[in-house]
Amino acid sequence: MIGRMLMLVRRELWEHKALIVAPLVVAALMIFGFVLSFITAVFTGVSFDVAVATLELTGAPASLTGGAALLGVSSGMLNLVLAAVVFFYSIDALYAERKDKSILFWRSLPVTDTETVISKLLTAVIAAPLVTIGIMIAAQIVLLILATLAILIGGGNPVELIWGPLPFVQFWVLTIYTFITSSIWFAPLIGWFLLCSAFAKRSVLLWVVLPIVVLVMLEGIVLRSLHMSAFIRDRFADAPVAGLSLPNGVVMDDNALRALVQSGDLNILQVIAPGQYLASPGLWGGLVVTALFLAGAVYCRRFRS
Amino acid sequence: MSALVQARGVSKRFGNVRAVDNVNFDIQPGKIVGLIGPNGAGKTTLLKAVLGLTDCDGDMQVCGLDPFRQRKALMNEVSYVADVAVLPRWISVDRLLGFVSEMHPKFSERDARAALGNTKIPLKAKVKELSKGMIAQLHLSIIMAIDARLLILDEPTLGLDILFRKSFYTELLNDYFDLERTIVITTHQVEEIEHILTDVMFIDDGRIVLDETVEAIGERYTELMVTPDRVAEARTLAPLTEREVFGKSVLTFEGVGREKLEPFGDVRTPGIADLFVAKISRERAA
Repeated sequence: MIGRMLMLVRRELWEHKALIVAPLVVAALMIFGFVLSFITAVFTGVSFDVAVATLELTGAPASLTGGAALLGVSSGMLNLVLAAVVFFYSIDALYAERKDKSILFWRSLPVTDTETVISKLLTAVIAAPLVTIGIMIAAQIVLLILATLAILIGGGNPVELIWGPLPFVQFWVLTIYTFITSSIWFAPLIGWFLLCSAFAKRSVLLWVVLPIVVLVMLEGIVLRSLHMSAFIRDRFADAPVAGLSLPNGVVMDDNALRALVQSGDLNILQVIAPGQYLASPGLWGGLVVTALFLAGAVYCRRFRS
Repeated sequence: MSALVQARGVSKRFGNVRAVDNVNFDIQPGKIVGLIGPNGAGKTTLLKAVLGLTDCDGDMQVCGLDPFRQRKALMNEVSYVADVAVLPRWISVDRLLGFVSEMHPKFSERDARAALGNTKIPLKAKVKELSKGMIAQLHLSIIMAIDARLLILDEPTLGLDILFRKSFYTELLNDYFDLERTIVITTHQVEEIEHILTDVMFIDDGRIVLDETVEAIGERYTELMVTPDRVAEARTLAPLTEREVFGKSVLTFEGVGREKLEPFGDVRTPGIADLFVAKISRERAA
């Protein structure tokens, strides 16, 4: 059972290579950019000694902010890439097989339409984020090694400046957690994309966008309210933080960081709140809507092919 | 022995058009059935109903299952080629075999690889890199490595050259077919499959117009080649149809004994294609 599902998901990754290639390319570009600035710095005579000395002078928080920026920017970019590839994947997933007629072959195998549709949801919601996270961690390790080299050239101590203070393992745990919680949060949206891709005879994109736009406009004209657009906006805004409990109004400034580092209390995993996530009606309501959309997609695949 | 396929009053409507119109038939295990009909006769719709690809009215049972409602169980027992060139173009041969092997409990990856070993198909190649003939060969190798009770081939050799078609049907008969297996084939090149069929079904306008064993056809239908001077006399025996070949008339008879016809000229069993033309033109005239 699990073996079958894994094979179905693997087939999706074989077919939709962008799910792997796009984050790989972006990660490679980031590393390339870092190397390039490294080389530029060497050739334009930027003194690594001075840079490292400045770092040492300002102490841990400065290298911490630098390192956090390195991790934060790279994971942020890959998160955007993930959103884009998952979007294009899910509007194509049940459309491409009809367009190239391969659905006739897939349906000649003992695989139910429900299994197939679920495998496509799992690919978008679980497999694609895991692939991106794997690539992200690998890329960040390379970036940290490059930063270590730069510090060594400047005569600094990389353990003191980066590897010691930077909570990268915690950061990775937090990233994996938020990638997965937010993509499950977005499952109803992916369910909608899959439904459109199973339903549309052509131009899936139009079917994805148009009903939402029309409904929002109708609500505005008829009821003179904007509940729907507000709902959609909130759903997007909530996604990254739905599984986190952030202390209100906390800004991580240098002083706060310094205090945290000095007290040895820096634990970014404190914000993880799986209980709150699992108890939120938004999660379960979303999953119910997802199930409805998927049922529609299964129906379309069964009756319209 | 109970029938492998059992259709009772099966109909399928598209709007006002009856693509399949109140059809009844049985297909017994161990048969090779040719389903013959002109374009738009309802062949494909009927096969779709057998394969559970479409819902239909009436009672259809395949391997004791309702094809539409028990599709996954059915696909364990039945394999088919619905159309050539439906293999996904992006997949490699190797991965395709691995995938089918994981998803199909009755697929023998070893048999498929052995069959492909006799071809020029490279295992590392992607389907889109293969020629049309190779893709068909690959698809048929996969289908024939499935230990299915029922194999349905809808125009399996469409667009392929004669050498391939010949070797395919030979292989089908020698390596695949045995008394446990049942094969249903549709094709426009009737002559090429004639010698392997055990049963023939003609379908026209959504109805079955003939459903016989090849043996019974030989007993029941005869073709008489007669010189022009004796045609008028032969016509009194009520032929189904008549056609001209090299200045002689060929008359097809149903249920007229050979001994009655032999005095008029050469008597033989009609080919399926000729019988088909005779039967269909007769039906349409009626």
